[in-house]
Amino acid sequence: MNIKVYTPDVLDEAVNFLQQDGGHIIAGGTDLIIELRKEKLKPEFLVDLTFVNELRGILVSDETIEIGAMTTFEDLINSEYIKAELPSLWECAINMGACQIQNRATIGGNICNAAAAADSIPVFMALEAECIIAGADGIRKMSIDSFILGTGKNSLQKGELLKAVAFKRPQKSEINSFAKLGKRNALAISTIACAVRVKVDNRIITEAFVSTGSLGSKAGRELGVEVYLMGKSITDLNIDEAAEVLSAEVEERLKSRASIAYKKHAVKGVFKEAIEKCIKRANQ
Amino acid sequence: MHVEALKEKISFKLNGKEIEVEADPSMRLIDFLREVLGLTGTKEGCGEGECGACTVIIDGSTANSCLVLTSQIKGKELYTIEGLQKGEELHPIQQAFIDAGAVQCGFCTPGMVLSAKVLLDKQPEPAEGDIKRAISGNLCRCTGYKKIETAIKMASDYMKKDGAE
Repeated sequence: MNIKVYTPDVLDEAVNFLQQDGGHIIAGGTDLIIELRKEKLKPEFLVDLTFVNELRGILVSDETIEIGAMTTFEDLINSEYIKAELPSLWECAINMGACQIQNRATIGGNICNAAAAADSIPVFMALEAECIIAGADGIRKMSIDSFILGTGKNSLQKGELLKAVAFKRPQKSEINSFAKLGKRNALAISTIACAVRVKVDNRIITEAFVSTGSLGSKAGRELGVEVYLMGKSITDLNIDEAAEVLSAEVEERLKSRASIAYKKHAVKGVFKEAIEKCIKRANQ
Repeated sequence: MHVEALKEKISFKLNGKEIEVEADPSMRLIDFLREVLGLTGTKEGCGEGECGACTVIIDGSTANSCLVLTSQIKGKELYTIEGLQKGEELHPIQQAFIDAGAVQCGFCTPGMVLSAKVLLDKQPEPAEGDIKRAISGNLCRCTGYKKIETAIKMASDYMKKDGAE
C-alpha cells in the first residue's frame, strides 16, 4: 500500500513515533487493513505495535487484572484464569469471529475501533474497567465509558495510545456472564450483546452491572434493569419481569430506529440467556 | 506522479527456511506471498477476513493473510500450503482430503488444510465440535463440509499411524 511502517519494540519508541502528524496505529489489523484498502483512511505512516511485547499479556494481581492492549482474543481463550474467573470475557472472546480473527484481533483494537457492535466493550463496561493511556506526558486513566465517545470514536489525543485495560479482580461473591445474538454462530457481527455482573450476598443481589452492545451508537450500562435487580434474590428472580424492564429502557432510547421492532424483543432473549448463566453459576 | 515504492528488508522463517526479502512493509501478506514470492497456493476470496481462502499459519496459529501486513511477520515462523508436502510425498492431511473426496473446485482447500493442520497439531484426536470450530472461518461453497469433516477425521488417523511407525 506504499505507506511507511514503523515497527517499534518498546512503548516509549511507539509513543515517540506517534508525536509526528499523520500517523495511525495498527494493532492486529483485522479491521484497519480493510479500511486502508478502501482508502477510508489514508495515513502518512503506520505505527505497528506487533513487536511491543510489554503491551501483550494478562497480569493478574491480588487486587486487579490488567490486560495489555495487544493481547489477542486467542490469548484470552487460552487463559485458564480468564476461563475460570471471567466467563463473561472468555465467552465474548470465543464467540468473536472465527479462529483466524481471534488469533490476530486485539483487545486494544476492539476497544479503540469503537464499533457499536464491538463485543468486548460491554464486557469491560460491566467490569467497570479503566483504560490506561500512554502519551508523551506519561500515563493517564479514564473509565471505558468515557473513553468510548461513539461509533468509531475514542478519547485518544494525538500522540497517545491505549496501553491496557484494567479492572478490579472479581471477588468470590461476584458472578459474570455474556450472551450475544448474531445471524449465525461463526464470524457473525453481533446484532445484540449483553454482559451481566452481579455481586451476591447470601443469595441477594447487592450490586448489578448490565451492559449492552449494538443498541445505540455506543455500548452502555443499562441502569434501569440494574436498579431492578438490586435487592432481588438470585435464586427467585423474575427473569421475565427484569427482561421487560430492559426492553422498555431500550425501546425508549431507540424509538426512532427502524430496527427497534425487532431489537426490543430480541434484547429480552439475549439478556435472559446472560442472566440465566449467572443464576446457574450462583447455584454451582 | 510516480512514487518510489517504500521497501525494506523483511526477514522471517517461511515453510521451515529462513528468508530475507526486500518488500513494501505495508503490503498485505497475501500480496507479498503471491506477487513477490510467487507462492500462489494461498488464494484470495473475499479480501475481508470472512472466507478463509487466504489462511496461512503464523507462529502456530491460523491467520487470514489478507488481514496481515508484511511488517507484522518480521521474525515470525510462517507456513503456507506449499510448506506441507515433503518432496513428492503429500502431507497426511492433503492425502486425506483426496481420499475423502473433500476437494471439489479446490479454492478453499489450501485454507481448509492449514486450519486442519493447526487443529491436529494442537489436538491430535479432535471431537466433531472441535473440527467444526477449527474450520468455522473457512467457507466452502461446493462440498457442504461433510466430506471435509470426514477428511480431517481421516487425517487424524493417518497422522496417528505415521507417528506410531
